[in-house]
Amino acid sequence: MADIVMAYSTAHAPMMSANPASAPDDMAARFFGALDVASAKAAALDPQAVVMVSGEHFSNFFIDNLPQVSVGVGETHLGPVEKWLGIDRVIVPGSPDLGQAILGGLIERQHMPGLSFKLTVDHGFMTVYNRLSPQSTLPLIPMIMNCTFPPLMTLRHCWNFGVSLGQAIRAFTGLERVLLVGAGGPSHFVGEPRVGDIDIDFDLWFLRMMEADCPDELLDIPNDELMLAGNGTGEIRAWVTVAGAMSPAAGGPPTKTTALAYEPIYEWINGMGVALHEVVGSAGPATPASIFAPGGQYAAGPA
Amino acid sequence: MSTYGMQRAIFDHLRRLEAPDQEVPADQIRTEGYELTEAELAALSKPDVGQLYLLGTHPVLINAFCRANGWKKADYAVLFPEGLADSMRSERKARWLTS
Repeated sequence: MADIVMAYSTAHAPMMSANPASAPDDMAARFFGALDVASAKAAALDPQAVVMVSGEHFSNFFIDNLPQVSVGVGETHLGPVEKWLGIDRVIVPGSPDLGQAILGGLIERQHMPGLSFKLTVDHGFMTVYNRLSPQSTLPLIPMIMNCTFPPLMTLRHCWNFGVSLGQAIRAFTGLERVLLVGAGGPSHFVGEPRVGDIDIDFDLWFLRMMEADCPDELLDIPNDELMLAGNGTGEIRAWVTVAGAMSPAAGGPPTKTTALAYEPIYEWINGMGVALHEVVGSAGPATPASIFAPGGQYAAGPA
Repeated sequence: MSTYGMQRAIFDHLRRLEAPDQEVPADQIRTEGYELTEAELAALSKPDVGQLYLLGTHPVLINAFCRANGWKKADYAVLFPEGLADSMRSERKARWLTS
Protein backbone atom coordinates (compact mmCIF):
# COMPACT_ATOMS: atom_id res chain seq x y z
CA MET A 1 0.00 0.00 0.00
CA ALA A 2 1.28 3.47 -0.84
CA ASP A 3 1.91 6.09 1.82
CA ILE A 4 1.34 9.74 1.06
CA VAL A 5 4.59 10.74 2.69
CA MET A 6 3.95 14.47 2.61
CA ALA A 7 1.88 17.12 0.86
CA TYR A 8 2.07 20.80 0.22
CA SER A 9 0.16 23.46 -1.64
CA THR A 10 1.54 26.57 -3.23
CA ALA A 11 0.77 29.41 -5.60
CA HIS A 12 1.82 28.86 -9.21
CA ALA A 13 2.03 32.40 -10.60
CA PRO A 14 3.71 32.34 -14.04
CA MET A 15 5.86 35.32 -13.15
CA MET A 16 7.67 33.28 -10.49
CA SER A 17 9.41 31.61 -13.43
CA ALA A 18 9.00 34.10 -16.26
CA ASN A 19 10.33 37.09 -14.36
CA PRO A 20 11.16 36.24 -10.74
CA ALA A 21 13.43 39.27 -10.39
CA SER A 22 10.46 41.59 -10.79
CA ALA A 23 9.41 40.91 -7.19
CA PRO A 24 10.94 42.67 -4.22
CA ASP A 25 13.99 40.63 -3.24
CA ASP A 26 12.92 39.95 0.33
CA MET A 27 9.43 38.81 -0.63
CA ALA A 28 10.69 36.53 -3.38
CA ALA A 29 13.31 35.10 -1.03
CA ARG A 30 10.73 34.25 1.64
CA PHE A 31 8.38 32.65 -0.87
CA PHE A 32 11.04 30.63 -2.68
CA GLY A 33 12.62 29.79 0.68
CA ALA A 34 9.37 28.18 1.80
CA LEU A 35 9.00 26.34 -1.48
CA ASP A 36 12.56 25.06 -1.15
CA VAL A 37 11.83 23.88 2.41
CA ALA A 38 8.90 21.88 1.06
CA SER A 39 11.03 20.46 -1.76
CA ALA A 40 13.87 19.54 0.60
CA LYS A 41 11.51 17.85 3.03
CA ALA A 42 9.95 15.96 0.16
CA ALA A 43 13.35 14.87 -1.16
CA ALA A 44 14.28 13.51 2.27
CA LEU A 45 11.26 11.24 2.09
CA ASP A 46 12.33 9.90 -1.33
CA PRO A 47 8.95 9.89 -3.09
CA GLN A 48 8.59 7.60 -6.09
CA ALA A 49 5.95 9.78 -7.75
CA VAL A 50 4.13 13.07 -7.25
CA VAL A 51 0.41 13.57 -7.73
CA MET A 52 -0.20 17.24 -8.50
CA VAL A 53 -3.59 18.97 -8.62
CA SER A 54 -3.81 22.24 -10.55
CA GLY A 55 -6.42 24.41 -12.20
CA GLU A 56 -7.33 24.29 -15.88
CA HIS A 57 -6.26 27.38 -17.87
CA PHE A 58 -7.74 26.37 -21.22
CA SER A 59 -4.41 24.74 -21.98
CA ASN A 60 -5.91 21.29 -22.41
CA PHE A 61 -9.66 21.59 -22.40
CA PHE A 62 -12.18 24.01 -23.87
CA ILE A 63 -15.89 24.60 -23.51
CA ASP A 64 -16.68 21.94 -26.09
CA ASN A 65 -15.66 19.34 -23.53
CA LEU A 66 -14.63 20.61 -20.11
CA PRO A 67 -14.31 18.06 -17.30
CA GLN A 68 -14.46 19.11 -13.66
CA VAL A 69 -11.39 16.92 -13.08
CA SER A 70 -9.14 15.01 -15.44
CA VAL A 71 -6.46 12.53 -14.39
CA GLY A 72 -3.33 12.30 -16.53
CA VAL A 73 -2.70 8.60 -17.06
CA GLY A 74 -0.15 8.90 -19.86
CA GLU A 75 3.37 7.47 -19.96
CA THR A 76 4.68 11.03 -20.33
CA HIS A 77 3.46 14.62 -20.24
CA LEU A 78 4.76 17.50 -22.36
CA GLY A 79 5.28 20.93 -20.87
CA PRO A 80 5.33 23.74 -20.32
CA VAL A 81 3.29 24.85 -23.31
CA GLU A 82 4.00 28.53 -22.70
CA LYS A 83 7.14 29.58 -24.60
CA TRP A 84 7.50 32.65 -22.43
CA LEU A 85 7.52 30.87 -19.07
CA GLY A 86 11.28 30.68 -18.62
CA ILE A 87 11.25 26.90 -18.25
CA ASP A 88 12.47 24.67 -21.07
CA ARG A 89 9.84 22.44 -22.64
CA VAL A 90 10.52 18.89 -21.54
CA ILE A 91 8.96 15.45 -21.48
CA VAL A 92 7.98 14.67 -17.91
CA PRO A 93 7.68 11.00 -16.97
CA GLY A 94 4.24 9.82 -15.91
CA SER A 95 3.16 7.00 -13.65
CA PRO A 96 0.35 5.31 -15.59
CA ASP A 97 -0.32 2.56 -13.07
CA LEU A 98 -0.80 5.03 -10.23
CA GLY A 99 -2.84 7.29 -12.52
CA GLN A 100 -5.15 4.41 -13.40
CA ALA A 101 -5.44 3.43 -9.75
CA ILE A 102 -6.43 6.97 -8.84
CA LEU A 103 -8.93 7.09 -11.68
CA GLY A 104 -10.46 3.74 -10.78
CA GLY A 105 -10.38 4.44 -7.06
CA LEU A 106 -12.18 7.74 -7.48
CA ILE A 107 -14.89 6.16 -9.61
CA GLU A 108 -15.30 3.35 -7.06
CA ARG A 109 -15.87 6.10 -4.50
CA GLN A 110 -18.62 7.66 -6.61
CA HIS A 111 -16.67 10.51 -8.22
CA MET A 112 -16.57 10.95 -11.99
CA PRO A 113 -13.20 12.26 -13.15
CA GLY A 114 -12.24 12.34 -16.79
CA LEU A 115 -9.03 10.90 -18.10
CA SER A 116 -6.36 11.85 -20.57
CA PHE A 117 -3.49 9.87 -22.03
CA LYS A 118 -2.11 13.07 -23.54
CA LEU A 119 -2.16 15.95 -21.09
CA THR A 120 0.09 18.91 -21.58
CA VAL A 121 1.34 20.45 -18.37
CA ASP A 122 1.25 24.24 -18.36
CA HIS A 123 2.57 26.80 -15.88
CA GLY A 124 0.09 25.53 -13.32
CA PHE A 125 2.18 22.40 -12.95
CA MET A 126 5.59 23.31 -14.27
CA THR A 127 6.35 26.33 -12.08
CA VAL A 128 6.02 24.02 -9.09
CA TYR A 129 7.26 20.75 -10.59
CA ASN A 130 10.42 22.36 -11.96
CA ARG A 131 11.31 23.58 -8.49
CA LEU A 132 10.67 20.11 -7.07
CA SER A 133 12.39 18.09 -9.77
CA PRO A 134 14.65 20.38 -11.86
CA GLN A 135 15.89 17.47 -13.97
CA SER A 136 12.31 16.27 -14.59
CA THR A 137 13.00 12.82 -13.22
CA LEU A 138 10.22 12.44 -10.65
CA PRO A 139 7.18 10.71 -12.21
CA LEU A 140 4.18 13.04 -12.28
CA ILE A 141 0.47 12.29 -12.24
CA PRO A 142 -1.19 15.59 -13.21
CA MET A 143 -4.77 16.15 -12.16
CA ILE A 144 -6.48 19.10 -13.78
CA MET A 145 -9.40 20.68 -11.98
CA ASN A 146 -11.89 23.18 -13.36
CA CYS A 147 -11.57 26.16 -11.02
CA THR A 148 -12.93 29.05 -13.09
CA PHE A 149 -15.75 28.03 -15.42
CA PRO A 150 -19.12 27.64 -13.64
CA PRO A 151 -20.73 25.50 -12.49
CA LEU A 152 -17.88 24.74 -10.13
CA MET A 153 -17.28 22.27 -7.35
CA THR A 154 -17.83 23.76 -3.91
CA LEU A 155 -15.00 23.62 -1.39
CA ARG A 156 -17.00 20.96 0.50
CA HIS A 157 -17.14 18.92 -2.69
CA CYS A 158 -13.38 19.37 -3.15
CA TRP A 159 -12.73 18.25 0.43
CA ASN A 160 -14.79 15.10 -0.07
CA PHE A 161 -13.09 14.51 -3.41
CA GLY A 162 -9.73 14.89 -1.67
CA VAL A 163 -10.67 12.34 0.98
CA SER A 164 -11.43 9.87 -1.80
CA LEU A 165 -8.23 10.80 -3.61
CA GLY A 166 -6.21 10.08 -0.47
CA GLN A 167 -7.94 6.76 -0.03
CA ALA A 168 -7.37 5.83 -3.66
CA ILE A 169 -3.65 6.63 -3.51
CA ARG A 170 -3.20 4.73 -0.26
CA ALA A 171 -4.97 1.68 -1.72
CA PHE A 172 -2.42 1.48 -4.56
CA THR A 173 0.04 -1.36 -4.12
CA GLY A 174 2.44 -0.54 -6.93
CA LEU A 175 4.44 2.12 -5.07
CA GLU A 176 5.35 2.79 -1.46
CA ARG A 177 5.94 6.54 -1.27
CA VAL A 178 3.84 9.19 -3.00
CA LEU A 179 4.02 12.96 -2.71
CA LEU A 180 0.89 15.09 -3.13
CA VAL A 181 0.93 18.72 -4.23
CA GLY A 182 -1.75 21.35 -4.78
CA ALA A 183 -0.88 24.21 -7.13
CA GLY A 184 -2.73 27.48 -7.70
CA GLY A 185 -4.34 30.31 -5.79
CA PRO A 186 -4.55 31.90 -3.35
CA SER A 187 -5.99 35.27 -4.30
CA HIS A 188 -5.53 36.78 -7.73
CA PHE A 189 -7.58 38.55 -10.36
CA VAL A 190 -6.76 37.89 -14.03
CA GLY A 191 -8.08 38.87 -17.45
CA GLU A 192 -10.58 41.36 -16.06
CA PRO A 193 -10.66 45.00 -14.96
CA ARG A 194 -9.38 44.20 -11.46
CA VAL A 195 -6.29 42.46 -12.83
CA GLY A 196 -3.50 42.75 -10.30
CA ASP A 197 -5.64 43.09 -7.19
CA ILE A 198 -4.75 40.78 -4.28
CA ASP A 199 -7.06 40.08 -1.34
CA ILE A 200 -4.62 39.89 1.55
CA ASP A 201 -7.40 39.54 4.14
CA PHE A 202 -8.74 36.50 2.34
CA ASP A 203 -5.33 34.91 1.88
CA LEU A 204 -4.35 35.16 5.53
CA TRP A 205 -7.79 33.94 6.64
CA PHE A 206 -7.53 31.04 4.22
CA LEU A 207 -4.06 30.04 5.42
CA ARG A 208 -5.35 30.07 9.00
CA MET A 209 -8.23 27.87 7.88
CA MET A 210 -5.72 25.47 6.34
CA GLU A 211 -3.80 25.28 9.61
CA ALA A 212 -7.12 24.61 11.37
CA ASP A 213 -7.71 21.61 9.05
CA CYS A 214 -10.40 23.25 6.92
CA PRO A 215 -13.29 23.80 9.34
CA ASP A 216 -16.90 24.20 8.22
CA GLU A 217 -16.43 27.96 8.11
CA LEU A 218 -14.22 27.41 5.07
CA LEU A 219 -15.88 24.40 3.49
CA ASP A 220 -19.36 25.93 3.62
CA ILE A 221 -18.38 29.07 1.73
CA PRO A 222 -20.66 29.53 -1.30
CA ASN A 223 -18.93 29.78 -4.66
CA ASP A 224 -20.21 33.31 -5.27
CA GLU A 225 -18.74 34.49 -1.98
CA LEU A 226 -15.42 32.86 -2.82
CA MET A 227 -15.40 34.80 -6.09
CA LEU A 228 -15.25 38.05 -4.10
CA ALA A 229 -11.63 37.19 -3.32
CA GLY A 230 -10.74 37.04 -7.00
CA ASN A 231 -11.64 35.28 -10.21
CA GLY A 232 -8.48 33.17 -10.01
CA THR A 233 -8.79 32.48 -6.31
CA GLY A 234 -10.97 29.45 -6.95
CA GLU A 235 -7.76 27.54 -7.56
CA ILE A 236 -7.68 27.01 -3.82
CA ARG A 237 -9.90 24.07 -4.72
CA ALA A 238 -6.60 22.26 -5.31
CA TRP A 239 -5.42 23.15 -1.80
CA VAL A 240 -8.64 21.96 -0.20
CA THR A 241 -8.50 18.73 -2.21
CA VAL A 242 -4.98 18.09 -0.94
CA ALA A 243 -5.99 18.93 2.63
CA GLY A 244 -8.86 16.45 2.38
CA ALA A 245 -6.47 13.76 1.18
CA MET A 246 -4.25 14.36 4.21
CA SER A 247 -7.12 14.38 6.69
CA PRO A 248 -7.84 11.49 9.09
CA ALA A 249 -10.95 10.67 7.07
CA ALA A 250 -8.71 9.66 4.17
CA GLY A 251 -7.10 6.94 6.21
CA GLY A 252 -3.65 8.40 6.67
CA PRO A 253 -1.53 8.92 9.77
CA PRO A 254 -1.84 12.08 11.90
CA THR A 255 -0.54 15.15 10.12
CA LYS A 256 0.25 18.75 10.94
CA THR A 257 -0.36 21.69 8.63
CA THR A 258 1.93 24.72 8.67
CA ALA A 259 1.61 27.96 6.73
CA LEU A 260 5.21 28.45 5.67
CA ALA A 261 4.95 31.69 3.72
CA TYR A 262 2.63 34.39 2.51
CA GLU A 263 3.76 37.25 0.30
CA PRO A 264 1.36 39.53 -1.61
CA ILE A 265 3.59 40.06 -4.64
CA TYR A 266 1.84 42.63 -6.82
CA GLU A 267 4.50 42.36 -9.51
CA TRP A 268 3.45 38.73 -9.95
CA ILE A 269 -0.25 39.68 -9.60
CA ASN A 270 -0.72 36.97 -7.01
CA GLY A 271 -0.88 36.34 -3.30
CA MET A 272 1.95 33.85 -2.92
CA GLY A 273 1.39 31.29 -0.19
CA VAL A 274 2.82 27.92 0.79
CA ALA A 275 1.23 25.44 3.21
CA LEU A 276 2.84 22.17 4.27
CA HIS A 277 1.08 18.99 5.42
CA GLU A 278 3.57 16.68 7.10
CA VAL A 279 3.12 13.37 8.82
CA VAL A 280 3.74 13.83 12.52
CA GLY A 281 7.17 12.48 13.38
CA SER A 282 8.35 12.09 9.78
CA ALA A 283 12.03 12.30 8.88
CA GLY A 284 13.74 15.17 7.14
CA PRO A 285 14.79 18.76 7.79
CA ALA A 286 13.08 20.63 10.60
CA THR A 287 9.99 22.61 9.65
CA PRO A 288 10.16 26.37 10.17
CA ALA A 289 7.58 27.90 12.45
CA SER A 290 4.25 29.01 11.04
CA ILE A 291 3.97 32.57 9.80
CA PHE A 292 1.20 32.92 12.44
CA ALA A 293 3.28 31.58 15.35
CA PRO A 294 4.52 34.01 18.02
CA GLY A 295 7.35 35.94 16.45
CA GLY A 296 6.21 34.95 12.96
CA GLN A 297 5.63 37.38 10.11
CA TYR A 298 1.88 37.48 10.68
CA ALA A 299 1.68 36.72 14.37
CA ALA A 300 -0.28 39.88 14.97
CA GLY A 301 -2.30 40.00 11.76
CA PRO A 302 -1.49 41.50 8.36
CA ALA A 303 1.92 43.16 8.14
CA MET B 1 -25.91 34.48 -29.67
CA SER B 2 -23.31 32.15 -28.23
CA THR B 3 -19.82 33.46 -27.57
CA TYR B 4 -18.42 30.09 -28.57
CA GLY B 5 -16.93 31.18 -31.89
CA MET B 6 -15.19 34.20 -30.40
CA GLN B 7 -13.71 32.21 -27.56
CA ARG B 8 -12.79 29.31 -29.86
CA ALA B 9 -10.84 31.70 -32.09
CA ILE B 10 -8.76 32.79 -29.10
CA PHE B 11 -8.31 29.23 -27.83
CA ASP B 12 -7.10 28.06 -31.26
CA HIS B 13 -4.83 31.10 -31.54
CA LEU B 14 -3.20 30.20 -28.22
CA ARG B 15 -2.60 26.65 -29.44
CA ARG B 16 -0.90 27.97 -32.59
CA LEU B 17 1.38 30.12 -30.46
CA GLU B 18 2.55 27.03 -28.60
CA ALA B 19 3.89 25.31 -31.71
CA PRO B 20 7.68 25.21 -31.39
CA ASP B 21 8.39 25.51 -35.10
CA GLN B 22 6.07 28.42 -35.87
CA GLU B 23 6.49 32.13 -35.33
CA VAL B 24 2.89 33.30 -35.24
CA PRO B 25 2.31 37.00 -34.50
CA ALA B 26 0.90 36.93 -30.98
CA ASP B 27 -1.52 39.79 -31.56
CA GLN B 28 -3.03 38.53 -34.83
CA ILE B 29 -5.99 36.25 -34.15
CA ARG B 30 -7.36 34.35 -37.14
CA THR B 31 -11.06 34.94 -37.59
CA GLU B 32 -11.80 33.00 -40.78
CA GLY B 33 -14.06 30.02 -40.29
CA TYR B 34 -15.59 31.08 -36.98
CA GLU B 35 -19.21 32.08 -36.49
CA LEU B 36 -18.88 35.62 -35.19
CA THR B 37 -21.03 38.70 -34.76
CA GLU B 38 -19.78 41.95 -36.23
CA ALA B 39 -18.81 43.16 -32.77
CA GLU B 40 -16.90 39.97 -32.03
CA LEU B 41 -15.11 40.13 -35.38
CA ALA B 42 -14.10 43.73 -34.74
CA ALA B 43 -12.86 42.98 -31.23
CA LEU B 44 -10.81 39.99 -32.38
CA SER B 45 -9.40 41.77 -35.41
CA LYS B 46 -8.13 44.79 -33.52
CA PRO B 47 -7.65 43.01 -30.97
CA ASP B 48 -9.60 44.96 -28.33
CA VAL B 49 -9.19 43.32 -24.93
CA GLY B 50 -11.77 45.53 -23.24
CA GLN B 51 -14.39 44.68 -25.84
CA LEU B 52 -13.54 40.98 -25.75
CA TYR B 53 -14.19 41.09 -22.02
CA LEU B 54 -17.46 42.99 -22.37
CA LEU B 55 -18.61 40.58 -25.08
CA GLY B 56 -18.19 37.66 -22.73
CA THR B 57 -14.77 36.17 -23.30
CA HIS B 58 -13.66 34.15 -20.30
CA PRO B 59 -11.03 36.08 -18.29
CA VAL B 60 -8.64 33.12 -18.27
CA LEU B 61 -8.55 33.23 -22.08
CA ILE B 62 -7.98 36.98 -21.99
CA ASN B 63 -5.20 36.52 -19.47
CA ALA B 64 -3.51 33.86 -21.59
CA PHE B 65 -3.73 36.06 -24.66
CA CYS B 66 -2.24 39.05 -22.83
CA ARG B 67 0.55 36.89 -21.38
CA ALA B 68 1.36 35.51 -24.81
CA ASN B 69 1.73 39.07 -26.03
CA GLY B 70 4.10 39.89 -23.21
CA TRP B 71 1.74 42.45 -21.73
CA LYS B 72 2.20 43.09 -18.05
CA LYS B 73 -0.57 44.05 -15.66
CA ALA B 74 -0.04 47.76 -16.23
CA ASP B 75 -0.11 47.24 -19.98
CA TYR B 76 -3.49 45.58 -20.10
CA ALA B 77 -5.32 46.88 -17.04
CA VAL B 78 -5.80 50.12 -18.99
CA LEU B 79 -7.45 48.26 -21.86
CA PHE B 80 -10.63 47.68 -19.85
CA PRO B 81 -13.32 50.38 -19.72
CA GLU B 82 -12.45 53.14 -17.28
CA GLY B 83 -14.14 52.93 -13.91
CA LEU B 84 -15.16 49.30 -14.24
CA ALA B 85 -12.58 48.03 -11.80
CA ASP B 86 -13.72 50.42 -9.08
CA SER B 87 -17.33 49.45 -9.56
CA MET B 88 -16.38 45.79 -9.22
CA ARG B 89 -14.63 46.35 -5.89
CA SER B 90 -17.88 45.72 -4.15
CA GLU B 91 -18.92 46.56 -0.66
CA ARG B 92 -20.41 43.12 -0.21
CA LYS B 93 -19.51 41.47 3.06
CA ALA B 94 -17.30 38.42 3.00
CA ARG B 95 -16.68 36.19 5.97
CA TRP B 96 -12.95 36.79 6.00
CA LEU B 97 -13.33 40.51 6.58
CA THR B 98 -13.18 41.42 10.23
CA SER B 99 -14.03 45.10 9.90
